[in-house]
Parts: sequence; C-alpha cells; structure tokens
Amino acid sequence: MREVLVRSIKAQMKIQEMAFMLVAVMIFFGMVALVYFSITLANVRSQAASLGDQEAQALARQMATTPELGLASSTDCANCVDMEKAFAFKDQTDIYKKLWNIDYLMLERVYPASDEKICAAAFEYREQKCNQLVLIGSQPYATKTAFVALAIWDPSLRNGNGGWKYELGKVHVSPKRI
Amino acid sequence: MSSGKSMSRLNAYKKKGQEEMVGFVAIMLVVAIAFLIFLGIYLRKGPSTEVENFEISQFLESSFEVTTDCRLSSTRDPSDMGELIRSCSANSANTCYPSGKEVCDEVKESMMVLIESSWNFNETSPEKGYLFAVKRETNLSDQGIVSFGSSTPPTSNIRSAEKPLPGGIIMYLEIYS
Amino acid sequence: MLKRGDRRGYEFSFGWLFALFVGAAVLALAVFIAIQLLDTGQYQRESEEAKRIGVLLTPAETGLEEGKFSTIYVDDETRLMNDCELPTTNYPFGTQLISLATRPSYRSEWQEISGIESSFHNKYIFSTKMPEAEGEFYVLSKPLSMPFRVSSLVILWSDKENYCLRETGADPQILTQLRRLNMTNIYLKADGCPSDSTEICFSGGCDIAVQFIGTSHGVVKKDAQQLPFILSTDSDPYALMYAAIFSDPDDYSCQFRRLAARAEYLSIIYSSKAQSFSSCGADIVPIFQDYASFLNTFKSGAPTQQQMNDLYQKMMGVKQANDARSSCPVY
Repeated sequence: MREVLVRSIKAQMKIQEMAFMLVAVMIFFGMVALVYFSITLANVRSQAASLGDQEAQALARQMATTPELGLASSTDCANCVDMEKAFAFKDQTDIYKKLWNIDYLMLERVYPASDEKICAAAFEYREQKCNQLVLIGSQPYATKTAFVALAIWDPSLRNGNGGWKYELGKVHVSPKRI
Repeated sequence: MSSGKSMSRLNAYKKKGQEEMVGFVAIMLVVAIAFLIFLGIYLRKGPSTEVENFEISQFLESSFEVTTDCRLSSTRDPSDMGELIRSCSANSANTCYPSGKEVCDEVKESMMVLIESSWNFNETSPEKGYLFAVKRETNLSDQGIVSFGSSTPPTSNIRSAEKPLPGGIIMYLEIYS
Repeated sequence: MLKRGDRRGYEFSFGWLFALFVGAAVLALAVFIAIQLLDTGQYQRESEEAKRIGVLLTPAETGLEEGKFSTIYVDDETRLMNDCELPTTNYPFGTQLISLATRPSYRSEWQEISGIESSFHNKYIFSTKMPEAEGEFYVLSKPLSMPFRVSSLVILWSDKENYCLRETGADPQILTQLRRLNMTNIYLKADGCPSDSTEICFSGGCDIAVQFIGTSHGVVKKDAQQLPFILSTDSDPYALMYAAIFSDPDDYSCQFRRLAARAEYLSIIYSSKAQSFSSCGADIVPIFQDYASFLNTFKSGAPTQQQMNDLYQKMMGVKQANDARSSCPVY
C-alpha cells in the first residue's frame, strides 16, 4: 500500500516535471520562432529593397536610352540625355513617377561648373544659374547615380542653324520606397 | 536501518533530480550557444559589392561627348572631347583655334577638370587618387599619347575602365580607393 | 522502466509512456512546422525570382540595336504568369504583371498559389499566358518606333515551346533577320515542320498565319482571332508582327493599347520640345498634337485593321514632317 502510494507520488512528480519541461521547451521554441520570423521578415524587406535598388541602378544606367529622355536624333550617342525633352517633361512628373517605379529623378550638371542649386525653370539651367533639374519628387533617398552626357540645343552652332552642345552630367534616381 | 536506507534513497533521488536539472540546463546552454553562432554567421554576410568600374565606364562614355572650348579650325564649331583625342593622336602638333593651344594640352586640361569635378579626391574621401591615359593599343606599356594623374600613389584597391576608340586608341581611367 | 514484478508480467511505468507520447507529438509538430517553413521559403523565392526576371529583362531591352536574343536560366521547373492591365487614370501606361510558380524536385505538384506578382509599367512582354520552362526562357527584344522610339518589345518563350516558320512566301528580310539571330527553338524550314512545333506561315493555312496588307500593315491569324499589326519605322519593321505571333491574343491587344498610350504621351513631349525649336523649320507642333489625339482613340477598344491603316498614315505624316527639318529634327 505504502509502495503504491510512493509510486503514485513519484508518477505525479514525473508528470509535473514533464509538464514544466514542456512549458519551458515551448516557450523556448516560441522565442526562437519569434527571432527567426523577425529576421526573415527583415530579410524579405531587405531583399525587396535590394531588388528595388537593383531596379533603380539599372534604371539610372538606362535613363539615357529611355524614349522620354534619350537623345533620339543622334544615333552615335548611347549615353546622351536630351535636355530639351527634360524641360518639356517637367510638367508631367506625376505620370512618369508611376512609369518607372521611382520616387526621385534629378539631372545634375557636373561640367561646366555652375551654381550648385536646384533649378526653378528651364531658362535658369540654360543660363547656368543652377545645376540641378529635379524632374520627379523632391526628397532623394538611397539614390543611385550614373554619368550621362547632357545635350542642350544651341541655336548659334552650325552657322546659325543650331546644333547640340554636350555637357557632363549625372542622373540621380531613388527607388520607390517599400 | 530502514530509515537510513530511505535517507540514502532520498539523497540518491535528490542527486538524480539535480543531475537531471543540470543536464537540462546544459542542453539549453548548448542549443543557445549553437543558435548564437548560427546567428552570427548569418548576419555577418554583408551587402554584395557592385561592379563599380561600370561607373568609370559610363564616365568615359559621357566625357567623350562633352563639348570643349577648342575649335580645330576657324570654320568649325567647338569640338567634343572625342574629336580632340583623335586629333591629338593623329598629330600632337595640332592646335586649337584661335588660342593656338596644343590640342593634346587641351585634352589634358579638360579631362583633368572633368575627372576632378566628378570625384572628390583627398586623403579623407573614399577616392584617393587617379590615373588617366590615352594610349595606342599596339603599345600599352608606353607612357601614352596623354597621361596624367594625381600625386597620390596607387593603393591596392583600384577600379578602372577603358574605352576603345577608332584608330586603335584606348582611353583609360583608374581610380584608387 | 521495465521491472520484473511478480511473475505475471513486466511493468512499463507511466512516466515512460507519457514521455513517449509527448515526444512523438512534439516531433510531429516540428516536422509540420519545417514543411510550412519550406513552403514559405518557396513563396519568398518565387516572388524574388519574378522581380529578378523583371529586372533582368531591363538590360535585354535594346538601346540602339536592331534586336537582341538572350536566355534566362532558372533552377527549377518554372511557370511564368504573364498578365497585362490596360491604362487607367491611376496608371496611365497600364501595367505589366509577372509572377512565377516553381516545382522543385521534391514536389510532384505545382504550388496552388504562386509568388507575389511583380508589376512594371515600362515593360511590354509578349508571350503565351503561362509559358512553362524546365530550365530556360528565351527572350527576343525588338525596338519599336512609331515613328519615334516608343519602347522595346520583349518577346518570350520557353524551352518547352517550339516554333517552325515555313519559308515559302516569307519576306527575305525576315528570314535574314531570323538566321542572324539564330534563336533557340525557332526553326526555319522550306517545308515539313516537326510535329511537336507550332507552325507559322506566310501563305496557306497553318497554326499561325501571317498576312500582309500592302506595305503598311498586316494581320496575324491564330486561335480563331485576328491580331492586326503595323510595320514600324525601324530598320527591321516587323517587331509588332513577332509580338502578335508569339503572344496570347488578349494580351497582345492589351499591350498594343499600352504602347499606344506611351506613344501618345511621347507625342505630347515632342510637341512641347518642338515649340522650343519653332525658329527652325516649319511648324511641326500641330502634327504632333494631332498624332497624340489619334493615339488616344486606342483607349476605347481592341485595335482594328482600319485603325492600323490610319495609324500608319498618321505615323508616316509625322515622320515626313520631321525628316523635312533636316537641320533640326525634333526626334
């Protein structure tokens, strides 16, 4: 009888131990899962952001060849941006923000040197009173850049018929924020 | 005697219980350490490095088109850098109109301005120095038709690109980080 | 613990039984969670892959070249869902949707739900609705000018799709182009195409029949539908013809209307640019504005042969006016 009682108590103790152990293990696994999913989620976010970055990098490099900005009349220049189109484009930025999945697009003149400020109008850019023409957005974020040649129409060239003058520039692109 | 026996059995059980607890804690510790090591290895893989010489390649493509102040003759419009490089390679005695400056000097000065406007070279910035050259394909070990650079000696971290031009000429730029 | 009690039997303690039972339950739970995580991982991979393929397709687009053929490699058996959404007020250029489903080697069935759709507004992919590849997708990029450069068309098929073009009646320029590109799974035969291939012909009847109407436009007949196309002003003018041949009919109509929208907005940009060139050459602004208005009519429905004929005439009008300004062309 006493032995049965002792065994019964022992059994109950074992059940108790097992129960506590299971609770501890479950809490442990729960914490591990929490850490794993938070890392995974951060990883998915960073993968998505990285893919967005890659897209923006590719876009920065390709900007000079997009029909909206590329210099179509010159078949020799694969890396030329048509500033006359950029000036015209400036009025339709909401539409083009969606076309390229970007939040920010800016053309910067590197050479010849001019005042380092954002242009309010096309004539300021022509008169070299500014060097940054913002086409889309206003706040750069994680921008990707690429060198381009900026082509501006100069009516005085070619004996007054006009021709293209090329400057060294950079295109700045910010991917769409996730 | 029986109480002595039960005492020793109780002690044995206590010891066993304690051993089990220690064992469980030891397992938890091993798993936790293994997890931390895994986490450390996983988080250590940093951002992948981009092929940066693409930036220099695009710089060379773009600067090739840039319109300079040099006219190759009185009847011509200002030439672009590509035309000046071809003219300099064909004959180093060619001069600009009306300044009379040698075309090769104009290439050197204009490219220097372009390069130093595009990157900020000093000891505290990521880019420490550079070397630019225009060379003939047939004689790459030579000084070059045009060659100049910053005074900083080359470091071990070099990015570079080259642009082949018609007539067997190569335009080359390397940047030290 | 097995104990020999009285000689009637062995005692198997309750503790062991309980431990065995709970252990089995915990193991089963762990295996279940592992499988769920594998599925989540696969979902994530498919979503990334769709975006990666979209990004990879960007360099494949032509800048100044006539056409480019390239191969995209995939690790597992992959199904690409290609969908097109028409231009809307929110998305004036329409949307190109790509999603992927994969079938890894450890599964015998396709996932019911594929990865997250990736959306692009500046890509135009022409393919069947759901091309399936064992290891490779093939991409042909062709520039499209109407008459100014509008975009590059991306024509896509898989290693499980075979196309055979019957040379009889085909324009020699088309044959020369195709031979130069030497594309995988595209065969050129005088006659006698492989039985497992989709036949394309320029005379007579076959799976996909191409019929030219004059020198301006034509129609591709497939799946009991007629897909009209125009010849572009590129050196190889057949980009839309290839697109119609390889594309699902509904998607072709949708993509063409997206292209028309893109051309319309480009025409507006060129008309603004032409204003700053007004001192050089005849006034070309009204021509671009008229062209933009005409392109707007494609928003109302699927393109017809008559519309294609009118489009070609308008397009050539813009081209001639621009070419006349030899000293300061607008594009």
